[in-house]
Amino acid sequence: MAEVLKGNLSQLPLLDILKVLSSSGKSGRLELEQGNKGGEIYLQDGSLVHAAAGSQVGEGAVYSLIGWQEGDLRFYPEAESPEETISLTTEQMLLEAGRRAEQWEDIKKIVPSTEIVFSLSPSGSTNTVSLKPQEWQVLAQVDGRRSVLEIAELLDMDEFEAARMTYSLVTAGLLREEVSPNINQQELMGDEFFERLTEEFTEIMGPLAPVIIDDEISMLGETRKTFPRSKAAELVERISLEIQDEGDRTQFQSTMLEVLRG
Amino acid sequence: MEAGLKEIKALPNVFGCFLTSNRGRTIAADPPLELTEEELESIGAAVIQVLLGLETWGSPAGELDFNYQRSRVVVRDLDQAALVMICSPEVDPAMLRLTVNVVTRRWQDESRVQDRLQEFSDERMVDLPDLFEQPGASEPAGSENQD
Repeated sequence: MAEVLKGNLSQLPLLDILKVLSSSGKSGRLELEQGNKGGEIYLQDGSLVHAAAGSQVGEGAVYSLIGWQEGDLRFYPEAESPEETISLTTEQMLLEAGRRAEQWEDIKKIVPSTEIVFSLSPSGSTNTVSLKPQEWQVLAQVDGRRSVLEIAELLDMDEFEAARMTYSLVTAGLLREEVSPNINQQELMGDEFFERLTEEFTEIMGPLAPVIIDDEISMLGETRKTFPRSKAAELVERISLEIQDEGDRTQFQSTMLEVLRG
Repeated sequence: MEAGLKEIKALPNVFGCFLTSNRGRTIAADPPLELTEEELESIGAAVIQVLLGLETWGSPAGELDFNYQRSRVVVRDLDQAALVMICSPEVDPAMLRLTVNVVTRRWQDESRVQDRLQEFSDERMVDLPDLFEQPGASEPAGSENQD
């Protein structure tokens, strides 16, 4: 079946795509892929009828997929949904998804990735803390080894809710961030790389360079602290596309290639 | 030219690369060991055919990326020729593009490379049956393996 729409979530946020497909009354299957994870959303005459992502189906799957900062996306028109798992109206869904997308922005400041592992803070909170039942459930599963995502799966909770609970628990002073085993397994880019990147880019672009770099890091769904080596070349490439002059761009790419090669 | 190809091939998960002329002839190569000259020309001809097809269709592509189960073939259109890279699916595409940008930009300033490309300069055209029946038919004499 032919795909008519193809893109990357870092450039085309899922929420915006759903709004367009919904308002134009489209039917078909939206397929999403992020590494070894996948998900799909079915639309029927512009209405969201079914979604699946990992063990989640229905509304939870849509909210979880909307939280993806990156990944590939393809739309196959006219594909029929095998079942109906979404009961909310599309307007309700998109409204809630928009609200969550805004909340994600705040949550990401504390929980930049659901791959991150938290542990109980030895110092605890200095104030009296009252916990909601779901927050207690999350807290009870925090052991310094499970990631936020693993806790979400364990509690059959969607990724967003688990991240939101974790955010509350961290801001209450009950949890602290550990280095995730998953993140630890992959090599991270150190401060030296970002210093050199900023220095080279500032020379060409001036004082706005650090802002552009931070924007691009964020677009890749990462932070400077947790930036993996596997995305370093992509970051350099994206940043270099901001340089209009071809000679300067190639020079920048050449210098940064040497840095990447070590 | 060969140094640039070597630089590209040195990247992780790049098996080899070669430059194909607009008629599907191999201009220079640092190919994977298991590929013969004939196989390279057959890949080159197929690549040029796709580039030509897209041009004819009115959608010229600066880059092509063919994803297969066990390999990935990335093509950069250089106008006078095409650079073909044979990789594993795990190749870092951004690292590959950055390296190709730097190498091909350097080629633009190297007169020996430009002379070499000029030797093979031809209107983009592929006649697959002829290519397979008469390999080397339209090649300039003694032009192979020079820098």
